[in-house]
Amino acid sequence: MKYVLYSVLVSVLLITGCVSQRPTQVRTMADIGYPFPVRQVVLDNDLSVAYMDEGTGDQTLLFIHGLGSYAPAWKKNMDGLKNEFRCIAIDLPGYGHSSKGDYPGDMRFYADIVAQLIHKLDLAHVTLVGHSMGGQIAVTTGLGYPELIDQLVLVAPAGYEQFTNGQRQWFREILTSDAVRLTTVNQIRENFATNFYRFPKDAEFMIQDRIAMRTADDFRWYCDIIPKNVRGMVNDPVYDFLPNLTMPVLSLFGEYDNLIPNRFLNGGSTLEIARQGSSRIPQSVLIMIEKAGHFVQFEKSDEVNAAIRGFLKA
Amino acid sequence: MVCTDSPGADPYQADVFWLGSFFSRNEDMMWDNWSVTGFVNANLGTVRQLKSGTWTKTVDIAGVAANLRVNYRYGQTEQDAITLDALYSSGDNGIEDGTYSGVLTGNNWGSPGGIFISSGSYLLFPHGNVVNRLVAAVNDIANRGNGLTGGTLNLSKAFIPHRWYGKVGVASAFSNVEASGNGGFIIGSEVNGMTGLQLGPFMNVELHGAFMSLGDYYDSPATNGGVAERPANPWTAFLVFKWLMF
Repeated sequence: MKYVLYSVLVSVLLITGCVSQRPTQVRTMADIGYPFPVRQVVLDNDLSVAYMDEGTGDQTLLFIHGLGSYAPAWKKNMDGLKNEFRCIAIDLPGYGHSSKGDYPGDMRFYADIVAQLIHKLDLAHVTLVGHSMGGQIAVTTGLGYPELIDQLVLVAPAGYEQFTNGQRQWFREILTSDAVRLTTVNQIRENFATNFYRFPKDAEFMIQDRIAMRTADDFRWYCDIIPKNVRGMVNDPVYDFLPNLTMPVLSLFGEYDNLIPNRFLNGGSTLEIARQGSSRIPQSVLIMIEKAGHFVQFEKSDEVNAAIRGFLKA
Repeated sequence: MVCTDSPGADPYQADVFWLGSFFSRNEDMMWDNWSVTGFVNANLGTVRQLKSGTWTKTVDIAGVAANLRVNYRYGQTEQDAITLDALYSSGDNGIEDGTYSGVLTGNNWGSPGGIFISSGSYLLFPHGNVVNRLVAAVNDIANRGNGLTGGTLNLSKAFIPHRWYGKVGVASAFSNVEASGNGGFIIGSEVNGMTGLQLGPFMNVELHGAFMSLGDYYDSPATNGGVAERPANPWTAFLVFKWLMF
């Protein structure tokens, strides 16, 4: 009996002790590979915005990523839509291949960036496609620069869910630059997984890139911008101003979004929040995508691309 | 570990060491649908007794406990899951044969250990919301040295995601050694249920209930503290308010 036990236990110890990981390393965040060629545009305030520009068409889709994300998160949508539309996906300043620095990171700052970029690239017939925080940036841009924007496509946008003053304060205080910097590999993996209903294997590159960027020289600016973005979202709520949007708006949500509503603070169904927000917009279409989470544009890219195509051609 | 005491007729010394490990995969059930956790822990050693002025090896100790929990998340949240929990602990009915193949836990020396509080049962195994963990039928995985083979099956569902949730569960366990004196192997089976509301961040109110049918293991006076009759089947219902403040 003893010898059997020894053998089993030593085997278990060996198996459980042999898990190792060797993350990829990058020197700067610009070393992270992108699925399409990356270009740069320098704006008036010497900020450089990186973007991928694919396809041609009368209408331009300008993709804005969410908190902690980057332009490659749109690769399936660019792939699916570039034959009919010009597709431009940007890295917000502080992220990806764009310039880094001590930026304010609030929603109006980014709305100004988007407006400047539209001018600099001389874009016409622009539809902003924003995901999560990118959705709130799109709304802020639509409110501030309605003359530049034809339509909005809001994918699981921040800004439809309301928070109390106490909850806003919790958001302001909960996330720090150090917390971002010290996020463990397991936590990174779980954070990404929470964005999906069923994490797709082809989304693994996002996790690997996020792990790799920890070794980049400019990673500290990424850690710095994320808490600023969170504060920016709660400090510049758009909910009360949704009725002021003058352009047609398509809202898309995954019905199993584990981030909207916030599962710790509010709980409840995503549909409830989606209806609540979209019903305030004068020209509004709401589409719920089944069996999809917060990253619905990646998890159900075909459905989302079809919805965008249908909305723009209606 | 060396213990020197005189609980019985002869002073004894015991050298016992524990060797074990635990493992987990996707504990929060978010990476994918499947989550697996478990442990294997063994106690190995010897007992020597002082007989006629000489220390003599009298008992060989070799016991093992193992657990495997498998969760499948079928829905949106971690509360939309089916959980199967299996537990095994080796047992013995005495040391007269010179071996003890049961499990030794911290409870043997008064420190909490070997309690199985996260299985989702209330009466068969202790529950994490119950202060007195000694009221369960199996309050220590050693099961009085007799060992056990048991398990629980729980089906949970979030009726409103991250707001209103509930679960139903069953649990069952068998002693690995027949209880001496008219007793059998069956410890018992339990059905239970719970529903709860998330009132705020880390603030919940929950209603729990459970009923257990005791088995023939309780027909033994050795199991019942000297009483020959099987006790009445236990049930419980309680309301809890939980608030993690930080």
